[in-house]
Amino acid sequence: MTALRTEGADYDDLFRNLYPSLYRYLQRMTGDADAAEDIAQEAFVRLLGRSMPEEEARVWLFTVATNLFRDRARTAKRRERILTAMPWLPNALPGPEEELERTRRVAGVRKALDQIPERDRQMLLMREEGFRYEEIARVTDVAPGSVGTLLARATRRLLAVYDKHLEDG
Amino acid sequence: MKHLDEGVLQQVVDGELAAGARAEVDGHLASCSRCQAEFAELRGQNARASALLGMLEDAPVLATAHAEFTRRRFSGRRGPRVEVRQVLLKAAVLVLTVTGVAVAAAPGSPVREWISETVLPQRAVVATEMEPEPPLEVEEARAPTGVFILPEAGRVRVVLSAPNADLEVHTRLTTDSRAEVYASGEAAGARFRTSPGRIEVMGAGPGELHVALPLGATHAYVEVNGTVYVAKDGDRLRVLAPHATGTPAAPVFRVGG
Repeated sequence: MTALRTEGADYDDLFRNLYPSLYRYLQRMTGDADAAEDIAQEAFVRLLGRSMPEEEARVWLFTVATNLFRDRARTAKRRERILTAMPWLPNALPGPEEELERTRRVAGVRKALDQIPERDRQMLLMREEGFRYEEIARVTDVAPGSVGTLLARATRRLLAVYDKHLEDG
Repeated sequence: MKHLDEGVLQQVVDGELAAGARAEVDGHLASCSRCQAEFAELRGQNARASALLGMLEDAPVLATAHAEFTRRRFSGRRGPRVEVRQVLLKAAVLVLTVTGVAVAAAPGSPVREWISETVLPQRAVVATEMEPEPPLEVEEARAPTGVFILPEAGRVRVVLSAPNADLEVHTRLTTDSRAEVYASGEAAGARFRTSPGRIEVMGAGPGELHVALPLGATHAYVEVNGTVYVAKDGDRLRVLAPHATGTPAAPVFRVGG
């Protein structure tokens, strides 16, 4: 695989190829579309001037973006941001029952993601973005051999919290 | 019999096992009902988790994001080079001022001879230095930007939040299955946010917004700051906006009326 030139047309192609995935990952991690966009943009700006294969750049971007997210979470009132970032969910206007039910389920997923450990969340979302175990291990700083077990447990935790949320109403 | 642990089963679900190890695991699964049941349960849990996470889908508007990235990419280049040029500019202004005073005050003085031999040639250089730096070409988001979604349970809402009063909204029905919204001109800097069956357009400037609502949607409407301005009524559009123009099939209204 040829090294990526992080300028010019190659870099624009990289942005178009990787931005949607990185944004989606961050939006699910943060629960905040604005923060997701800002962090994703910052990660790409930091990539400027570096030279590496595209696959490597993808892992690098996710690593940097995750660190930026953690920095923000440490300094900002994260829970307030998640709560106030609700507007992109379907508005709570009186509507058919199925719309209200969907709203409740989406809120449940958001809450479940918020309540499971950050590493669980990160691993689940990276897997959703198609990362291999070795890459997930590098970004989350765990042994590659343990990723399978950690993912299995993270999946169960997510579903348990989600189901409890639905039960509690 | 040694059973498969959850880590190995998860690797099978995710396709992470090497070919040799996979053959061995498949062999065990074929003969062990307990591991088969655990594998099926784990696979079901993974599929369910994936479906739940998919509900959070909020598609980015790539064109807008790329324009923003281009802006950030080039905005940091005005650094030390600009500072040096500013110092040179100030020095040049000072030299020219002194030169002008000297020439005006003492005609035929040695200063004039010195100036004609040294400073005047420098003026050509200084004049060059004084030329304003050409603006960096930054790809502004002036090309149309937009987004499209599929209806959710047959419904589509296009919501305009804090639009400029001079924004002109063009609405039409489309045979496409998707609802599409794009902004052009001064409105191209608008931000878009999508969720199932909903497109929100935020901060559109005084340009044009084009909305296409799918004929196949059971309910579709365009809202401005919480008020419905256009609603799909069967195979036509019902216009509720004040002072709308255009045609019944393609109404146009200005946000500010």
